[in-house]
Amino acid sequence: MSKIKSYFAHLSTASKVVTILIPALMLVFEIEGLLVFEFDMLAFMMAVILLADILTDYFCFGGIYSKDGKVQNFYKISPKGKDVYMNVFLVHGIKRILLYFGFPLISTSLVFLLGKQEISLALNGMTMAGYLLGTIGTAFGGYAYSLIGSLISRKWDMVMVSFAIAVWGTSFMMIFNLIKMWSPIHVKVIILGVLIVISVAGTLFAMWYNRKKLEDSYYDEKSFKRNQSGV
Amino acid sequence: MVTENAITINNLTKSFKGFKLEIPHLEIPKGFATALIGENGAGKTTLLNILAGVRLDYKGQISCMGENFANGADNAKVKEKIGYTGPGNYYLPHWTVNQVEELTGLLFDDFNKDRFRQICMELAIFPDGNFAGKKKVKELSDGTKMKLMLAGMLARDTDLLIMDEPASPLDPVMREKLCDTIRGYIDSGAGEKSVFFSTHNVSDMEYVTDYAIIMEHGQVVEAGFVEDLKEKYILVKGDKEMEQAARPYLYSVSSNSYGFEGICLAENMNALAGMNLSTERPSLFQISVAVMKANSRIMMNKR
Repeated sequence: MSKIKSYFAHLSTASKVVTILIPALMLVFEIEGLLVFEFDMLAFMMAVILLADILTDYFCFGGIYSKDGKVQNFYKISPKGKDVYMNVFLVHGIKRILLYFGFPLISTSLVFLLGKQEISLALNGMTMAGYLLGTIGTAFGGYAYSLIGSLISRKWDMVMVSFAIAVWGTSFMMIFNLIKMWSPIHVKVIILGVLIVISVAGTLFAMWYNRKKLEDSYYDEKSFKRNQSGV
Repeated sequence: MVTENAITINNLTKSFKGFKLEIPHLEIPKGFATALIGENGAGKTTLLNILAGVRLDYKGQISCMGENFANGADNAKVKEKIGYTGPGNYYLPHWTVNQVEELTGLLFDDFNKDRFRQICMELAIFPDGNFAGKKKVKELSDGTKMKLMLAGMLARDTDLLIMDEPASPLDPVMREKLCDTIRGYIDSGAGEKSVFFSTHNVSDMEYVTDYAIIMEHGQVVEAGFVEDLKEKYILVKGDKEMEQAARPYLYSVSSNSYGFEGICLAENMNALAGMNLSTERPSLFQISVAVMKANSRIMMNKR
């Protein structure tokens, strides 16, 4: 609970609202799309979520990895600063997983619950297996882009950089959706495999990089730490 | 004077790209305000960062508030007793004051929220006198960001304050307030609370400085209680014709067409006997400049 409290303390009020409101709103639109327009808008919804996610990430952690940033000092002077710092990013990572995998899961479940799977299959012109592979691919695609995009954008305390990365993210999601739609099933499997590798490697890299940024800020010379530990 | 030490340093070294911090022995007395004075690049920030636990790339032994740590070890045990403000703002620019308050509370168990708000008002962080928690850090001036860091630090129950250039971004009125705050902090501790700060604003901070350490090129070149330093050094003034004879015994000399003045070691005053000179008690600023000039690599214009 304290980890979640620490995480929420890092979110501005607007970020808290966007973090909760946007996925909820997108779900409403998804249901409306299915019921009123008979159209599965998952890819559009994921693009909007990605846009909101990267922009809110800026307003929470923008500039935290910048070269001349001193924010790590704020954590380093506290006896429990390192734990708080690492926990915040742990919770953020879990939130990202829930967002990018939970939303497609709920959305797809709704498609089936509302009996609208034929709409999605007709629109995408694919088999059930292809549809499900595509949906999982959308989840991994959004997750991987969010992971890498936010890692890059945090290097600058510039909203325009985050905005550009977020906009590219929406374009990426749309292009990715088209590729996914028109690809034969074996290509879908390959794309999904690549995305899974990127997502897992990206997650491990993000965890390593986050710790490294904090640890490195204690030293001018990377060799010093090794020398100290006798390596 | 026999005093306990808040900090004792032995054989401290840290090297990086042509710079070497090298302090064989240094004591910072407990219950006093100690100023760390020196040119840019003298090693002040490096020393303060090591003591605050912000840097760990050092070798040597440090005893701080009764806890010992050495050779790059973290000072985790004393962090709860130390308050620190850095030379630059360490809050993210889009954090609000409310977030700063909440985050400081999360990081430090001894943080007092009501006291934080009270100090924010005392330091006039908000121009209209109302606590504006929604104000973002990036909307504050450099001086106000420093005040916010000071408020966060002072709202805790600490025994040692380490401040890197706290006066630099502050206006003169606020510098005086800072001096009063430091004095009040020390007085509230009945000899147990200490303050260690670096400053280029020696004149402004002189009245609160009990002990001074002067650093040049990574080394301590002078250290002592201000009152002792004022006994050790003497300000000498004389007519122009005396300048050449007096110059070899003076730490630094500034002259014009009528006369000169310089800082002389009290022990060398005998050598100036017989010259028509007047003497005065120097300020800490004058002592600091003289000692720094004597050790500086800056090419000074002869005046």
